Amino acid sequence: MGGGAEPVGRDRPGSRPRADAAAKWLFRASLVAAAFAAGMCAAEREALPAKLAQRWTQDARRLLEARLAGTQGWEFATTPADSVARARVRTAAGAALEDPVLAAGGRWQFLDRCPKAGGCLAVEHRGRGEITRAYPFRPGDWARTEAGGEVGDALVVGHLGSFSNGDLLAALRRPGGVFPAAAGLARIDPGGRALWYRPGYGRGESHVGPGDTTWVPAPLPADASLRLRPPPLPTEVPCPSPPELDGIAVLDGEGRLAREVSVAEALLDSPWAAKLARSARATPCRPLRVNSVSLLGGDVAGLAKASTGDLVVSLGSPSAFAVLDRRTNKTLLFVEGTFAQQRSVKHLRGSQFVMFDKLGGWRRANGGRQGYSRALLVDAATGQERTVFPLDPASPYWGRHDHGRVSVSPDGLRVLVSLAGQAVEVRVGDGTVLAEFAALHDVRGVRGFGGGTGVARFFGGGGFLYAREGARGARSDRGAGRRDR
Amino acid sequence: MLAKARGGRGAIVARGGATARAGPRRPWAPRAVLALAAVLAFGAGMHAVWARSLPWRLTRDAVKSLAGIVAASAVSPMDLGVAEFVDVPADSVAANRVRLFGDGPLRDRIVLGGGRWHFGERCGGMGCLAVEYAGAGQAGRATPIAPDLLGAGPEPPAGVRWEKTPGVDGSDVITPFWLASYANGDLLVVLEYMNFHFPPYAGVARVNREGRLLWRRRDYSHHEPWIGAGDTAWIATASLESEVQLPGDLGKWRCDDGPSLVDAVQGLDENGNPFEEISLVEAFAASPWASLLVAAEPCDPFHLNSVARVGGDFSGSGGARPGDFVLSLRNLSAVALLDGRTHALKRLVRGTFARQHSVKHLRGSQFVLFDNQGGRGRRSGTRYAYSRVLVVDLATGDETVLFPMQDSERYWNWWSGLRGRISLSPDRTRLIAAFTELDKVVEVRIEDGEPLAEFDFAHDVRRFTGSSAADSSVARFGLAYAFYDRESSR
Repeated sequence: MGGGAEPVGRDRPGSRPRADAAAKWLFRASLVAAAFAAGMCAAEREALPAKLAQRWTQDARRLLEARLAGTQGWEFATTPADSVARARVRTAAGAALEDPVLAAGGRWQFLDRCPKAGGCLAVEHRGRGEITRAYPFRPGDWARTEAGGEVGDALVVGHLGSFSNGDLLAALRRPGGVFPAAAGLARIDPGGRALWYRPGYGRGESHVGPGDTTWVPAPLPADASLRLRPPPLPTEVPCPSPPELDGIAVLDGEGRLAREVSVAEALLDSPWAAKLARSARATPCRPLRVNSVSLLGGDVAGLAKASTGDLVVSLGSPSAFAVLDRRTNKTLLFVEGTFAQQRSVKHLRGSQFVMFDKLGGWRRANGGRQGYSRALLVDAATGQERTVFPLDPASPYWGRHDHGRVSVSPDGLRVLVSLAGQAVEVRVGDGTVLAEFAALHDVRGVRGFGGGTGVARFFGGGGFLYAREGARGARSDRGAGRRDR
Repeated sequence: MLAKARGGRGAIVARGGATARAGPRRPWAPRAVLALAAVLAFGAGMHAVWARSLPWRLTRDAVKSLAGIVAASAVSPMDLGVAEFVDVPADSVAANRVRLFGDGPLRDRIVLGGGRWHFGERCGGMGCLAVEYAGAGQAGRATPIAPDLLGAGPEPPAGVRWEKTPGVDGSDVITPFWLASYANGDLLVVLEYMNFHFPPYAGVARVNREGRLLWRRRDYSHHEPWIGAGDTAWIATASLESEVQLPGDLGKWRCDDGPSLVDAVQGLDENGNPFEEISLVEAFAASPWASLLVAAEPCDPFHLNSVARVGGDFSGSGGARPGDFVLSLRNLSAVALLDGRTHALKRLVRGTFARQHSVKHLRGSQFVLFDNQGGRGRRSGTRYAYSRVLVVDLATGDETVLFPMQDSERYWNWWSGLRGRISLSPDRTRLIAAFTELDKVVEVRIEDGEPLAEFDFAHDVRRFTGSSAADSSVARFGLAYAFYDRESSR
């Protein structure tokens, strides 16, 4: 017994190499599994490899997006190329525009008016839409040097403002998803020359006020000792980098920084401080997103503590707007409503404000709910709201729009609502559409626009505004001494 | 004799250079492939976390369950809700329970809510569920906790997705949390797990004043209920949702930490049978405030923490009507008014208050609430936050701080950031404000905010723990709740 017995188990001929191979594969598999687990661990704990990988991934994506985008968004339009100039502005019953309107441009836009520059920064429409002034787009001349090698030609024209002498305030943005989006802010004369250029500014909608003073939403250096959540509230700042706190920079007519207004400090010292604490918890990296600043106009009846010339600050996060005393920086009013991710909040008259409400509009459609962007009128005293535009669900402007702004006419009776490459002038009282504008451009012969209709509609740029919107501010300035307190 | 060649594992070379067995041509290749696979696996692991994909979700659930099992294996007093032991003489606790100020005895009977190991001087077993106080602050009837109130209880109703940690029963850490009085004096008891469980809600029960259990329901009923006519109870409830589709193009709620806890209002008849449920998601989705859902916290978007109804004397232009529901939504720092008949969201009120509790109709168009985190002050140049009782006028938006008064030296920094309750006296001239986490309750005159009485919720726990050590005989649970026995509910 035993001598002729067949070996069993590991002693079986050939079983050792198989076992070795299995062990080897097991080892390899466990190594891979361990690497997977380590990757999960690194990402969960936001360890250095994960941070680096995330940054590289984001950078790569932005580069790709920037390369794909090239410029701001556009689409071919069916408008015949020969009638583009007429199709840009249409007024009701052929009536003349009551106030001149500025249309933002950029590279390849208004080539008929600025062929040498490769496009107009902006043009001014009057009458039945005639272009009476054109500002050439020459960012390469000035943005390149001052922005530290910025490729100015690729920049997109963001929000515009107008100085009292006809100069323009122009925000330039980087195209696509390039970070940070704001490239700089410039004062441009009618010849397209930059009188000054301030890199880094221009992330929201600025306001040119009396004396050519400019109020600009801007990131302020965060004071390390500033606690958005005072004790005994726990400090909850899980943001990996110091949080950005938007404020307002005040520039003089030469573009020099005159002072800064900390919106965070203003809110922290107000009864609405808890709003900031909540926002710091919900969006710890950017608890305050200031996306527009403007001034209260001359008629402030119904706004008990406010007076002409005070600051109207739109906070995209949290979805609210505030009125700040422009001398003491105190928060006088904090208004929330059904609007969400709004921007471009402007004072209309009395306690009424108008804004571009990106997410707040809703209607019933097809058994469900359909959201739309709108121009919304809000009464800060009563809390009542009224949609100014669009009122008709069949309107071609109905829908969600990422980009939008409102501009208030000098007499405060009309608003210009910009929606993705289009705009409508609307009478505030009854919502009547008085004029329509479109960012249509003849791009025949421009490289990169082949194969289409030859006419492109550009969207995502600076939109349209009343050329004398700042005139309301000028009146405001004269009234600034008459405070209602 | 054989020697290993330098360049490769397994390449056996005979002396003199003749190869006895051919080795791999590229001996580094398998290692490179393995290294590459490891790098890719590392990247895939990171991606799994960022994308919140299945491996991450499984790992998360496993880790949570493991933590729950480990924690449940040794229940300590802290797991039963003891926030701290305080070094005061145990015999003095009952005597120092009530402190009256000013103008005489308590005008209405006040019920102090209890729980496991509470009111050891009055109840053995597991403690008192409630103790009544009246007159000059004498303790009256005490309701003991019946053992069947806190056991595992009945099976959850069909359709309720009951989350449970494997191997953890949890019934030993259930405690009464919120109480409310029925017309005949019975108590509606809302139960919670003190630890180990998500969500912490353990159900709801009806108990008579002798402590006898009349019915019990194991569901996700939670927070402060409202008892109306015909012993109908309205109470917050919740469902667990893996993801919630928001209206239109607003996307979805998807919680990173597990299922989303989505609140609703539930109506229970006198026997605890549900007869109606009002979905908050639907009410919001059909309202002008639908867009606010985008900014909500996806794990617990509403945190409905009190249900009440507008009284018959509502007046003013606040947009409410008698019978409307008044809901406190902590995580939106907002008060929602739901139409009493159609359940449509009529108004969403926001103000300077934050993470509030216990919103009640006071009179006219005025509402009162416990504002947990909205108070702000400055002392010696330093900003601080405090809790307060706030009156909000729906018609005008005006707010008035009722308590603490601005010049109060005693109450200026009272803080109960996450819990609190208001109870209105039957004649609505006084209210009780529970600063729950402080273990303090104060009765306040509404007219001028003057404090009338104060209650301290330290508990002598010697008879439960068996310990007579000075440092573990008096406990604070941070669970001070109290209410008028005949609370104004109009």
